[in-house]
Amino acid sequence: MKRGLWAPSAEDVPDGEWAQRVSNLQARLVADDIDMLLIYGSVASADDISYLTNLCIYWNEGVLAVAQEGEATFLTKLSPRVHPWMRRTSTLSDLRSGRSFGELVASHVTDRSPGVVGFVDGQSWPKQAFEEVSGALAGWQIRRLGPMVADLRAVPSPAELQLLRTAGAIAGSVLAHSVSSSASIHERVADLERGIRGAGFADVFMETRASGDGTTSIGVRGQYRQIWAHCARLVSCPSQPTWVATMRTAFDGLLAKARGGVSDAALSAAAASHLDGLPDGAVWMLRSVDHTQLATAGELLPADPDRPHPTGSVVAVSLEVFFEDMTSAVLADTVLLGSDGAEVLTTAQSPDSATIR
Amino acid sequence: MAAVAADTAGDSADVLAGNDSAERERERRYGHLADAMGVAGLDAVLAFGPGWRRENVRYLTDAPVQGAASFVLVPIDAAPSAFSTRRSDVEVVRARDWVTDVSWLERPYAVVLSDRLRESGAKRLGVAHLELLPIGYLELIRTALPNCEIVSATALFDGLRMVKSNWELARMRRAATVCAAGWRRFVEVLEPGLPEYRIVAEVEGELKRLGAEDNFMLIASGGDEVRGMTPPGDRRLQPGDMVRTELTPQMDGYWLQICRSAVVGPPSDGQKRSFELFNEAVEAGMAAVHPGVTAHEVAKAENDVFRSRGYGEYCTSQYTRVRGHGHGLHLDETPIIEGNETVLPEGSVFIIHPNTYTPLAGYHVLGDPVVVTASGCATLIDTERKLFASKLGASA
Repeated sequence: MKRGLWAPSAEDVPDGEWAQRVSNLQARLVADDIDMLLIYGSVASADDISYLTNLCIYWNEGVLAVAQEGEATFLTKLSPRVHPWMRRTSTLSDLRSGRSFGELVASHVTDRSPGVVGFVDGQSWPKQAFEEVSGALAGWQIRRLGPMVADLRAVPSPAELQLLRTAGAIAGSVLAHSVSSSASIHERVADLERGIRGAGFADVFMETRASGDGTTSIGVRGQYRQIWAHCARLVSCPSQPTWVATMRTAFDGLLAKARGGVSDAALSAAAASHLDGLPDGAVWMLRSVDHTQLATAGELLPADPDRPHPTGSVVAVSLEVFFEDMTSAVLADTVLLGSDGAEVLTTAQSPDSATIR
Repeated sequence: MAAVAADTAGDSADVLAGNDSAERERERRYGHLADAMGVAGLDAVLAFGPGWRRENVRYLTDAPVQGAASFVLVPIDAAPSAFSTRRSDVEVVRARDWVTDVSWLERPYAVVLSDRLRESGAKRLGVAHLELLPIGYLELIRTALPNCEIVSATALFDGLRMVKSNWELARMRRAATVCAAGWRRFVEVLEPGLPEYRIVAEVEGELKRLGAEDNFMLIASGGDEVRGMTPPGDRRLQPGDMVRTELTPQMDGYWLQICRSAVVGPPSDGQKRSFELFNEAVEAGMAAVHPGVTAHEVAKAENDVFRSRGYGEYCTSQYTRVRGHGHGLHLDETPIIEGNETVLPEGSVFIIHPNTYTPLAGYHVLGDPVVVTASGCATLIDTERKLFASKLGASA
C-alpha cells in the first residue's frame, strides 16, 4: 500500500494546471466524440487519476468519471469515512461510495442521455469492474481505449519536470549514500527506506539482487507526489569481476545514445557492442519504461522496440544481466530525452542542491 | 468459504517446533488443492496475482514474485507452470523450486501462457482472482480454451489458506517479532514537531532492517477530533496528541498486524478511559474464540462491550469498518464483522481490533493477532497491551 507522504501540493503544481489537465482531456473527448471517460485505478496503478486530481488510491480501487464538461467524479467502494481526507488532499469535491461499481455508475448516469463511453486502458480493466460498469450502461456505446491519459502525460509539463528532477535528486543521492556504505544489505535497504520516505516519497519499491560472485545490485523505484523515478546501482565487491566494468561501460554507452527520437532497438544496439565480455551463458536485457508507466514497471502495456521516444519525454532505462546460476544484476537511471542527448535525473547531488523536504 | 482441516501431522517434534520442511509444506498445499479441485469439478486452476493481491501465487510458489501480473497454472493431472511479467521473477521462482516450469511473459498476453493453457485441455477452469483479471488476459484464456467453462476460484483459495500449518505459524511468529520491533521504534521517535510521514519512514527503516518484505500501515495523529486513519500527511505532532497506527509487516510472505495507540507525553483522563474501553473489547473478543467460532460471534463479543457502556452507535459503518480480519499470505482476509458467518477453525489466524471513534478520545486503535487453538486462542505477539506514552513527548 502507499504509506508515504500524501498532502495537497499547491506549491508543486500550480492550481491552474490541475484544471488545465482536466480541460485538455475534455478537449480530447470532444475531438474523439466520446461523451464520458471512465478511468480505473487500484493501489497498484492509479497514476492517471492522481495526474488529473491529486487523489491517492492508497489501497483498494476506484473509478474516475470525466465528461466533456464539468468536474470529474470519483466512484469508490471505500467508505464515505475517507471522503474528508480525499477532499482535503485532492482537487475532487464529487466523491461517491457504494457497494459496487455497477451501482455507482448507474446512479452517476441517471440524468444523462446515453452516448459514447470510453474505458481508458480497456485491456487492463479488471473483469468484474468492467462487466459491472458496462452492464450498468444500457444504451451506451462502449469503446475500449488505449492509454489515453498516459499519452497526454508523455512529455511532462514544467511543473512535472521539476518534480521529476526533485525525485531524481533524492533517489540518486540516497542511493549513492547506500552504495558507498559498508553496511549489510538489510541495513542498506533500511537506510534507503528511511532516507527516501523521510524526504517525502509516497511509495517505494526496493530491489536487491546478488550475483554468484558476491556483487550486489540495489535499486529503488518510487513515487514522489504524482510522479515516479527509478534507479539501480552495482555495489563493488572485493572480487571485482570483470563483467561489472563491462556492464557499466555498456550502460554508459547506451545513455550516450539516448535522446529524443531514439528507440529501444537503437539503445539495445548501443549496449550490445559493449557486452561481449559477459560471462558464458549470461543473457542481457534492456528496457526503457516511460515515466507514466513506472508504477507497474511498464509491464502491463505492450512495448514496441521500434517506437521512437518523443523529445522531452522521461524514461527509466535499465540494463539487466541474467547469469547461468540463476542470479542477476541491474543498472538503471531515469533520464530526460532532449534533442541532443539525455539528462540523467537520478544523479547524486549535494544536500544543498537537492530540494529535500 | 470452506476451510481445509488442520495439519494432521501435528505430533512430530519437527512440526511442533515449526521446523517442518518446505517440501512437506508444498506437498500439503498441492494435496489440499487437488482435493478442492476434485470437489469443485475443476480440471485446472489458474492463480492470478495482480500487483496488490499476490497471495495465491505465493501459496503455490513460496516465492516473493514482484511482477505487475503473475500466474500459476495447475492442471489436475500435470505439473504446475508459473508465469510473471517480470523477467527476474523467473529466477526467484526457480530458486524456490516449488514450480520448475517458469516463464517470463515478455509481452502482456504472451503466447507462452496461451500455449500452456491449451496444453492443459481444461474444460472447467477455476481462476483465483478472476474478478481482478484484466480483460486482455480473460480474452487470452477464452481464445486458448474456447470450449472451457471459466469460474472463479477465489473463494476456493481463501478456504485453502485459512488454516495455517505449523510451518506457516512458525513464519507468522517471526513476523510477530518484527511487528513488536516496529512498534517499539514507533514509540521511540514520537516527539512534538515530528511530521507524520517521518514516523512512517523511521518505522519502515526498522522493519526493513529486520528483513520485512513489505508493510501495510495507516496512521493518525491528533486529539478527539480524529475520526480514522489514512496515509501520513505533513502534520507535526503536538504535546498530548494520541498517535494511532496499525503496523502490518510481511515476513517470508506472511503478514501480521499490531494495533496500538501512543500519547505524546502524559495521557489525559479521556485517553485512559478510552484505552480501558477498547482493551475490555479486545479481551471480550479473545474470550469468545474457540474452534468453530464464527467471525460474527467474535465481532459481537467486541461490540457488546461498547453497547453495554453506551457507545454502541460507534460500532456502525458510520464510524468504523471491521472488528478485525484474517491474516496470512494476504493481510486482510475474512472480515471479523457482525453478519459474517464464516467459521474460524483451529489454526486460523486473525487480529481482534475493535478500532473505532468514540467521543472519549477520538479514533482509538488497539488489537492483537491470535491463532485459534484447541482450547481457545493464543496471542501471537508479546507487546504489552497498554496506552503507550513517548518519553520524548513527556520531556517536551
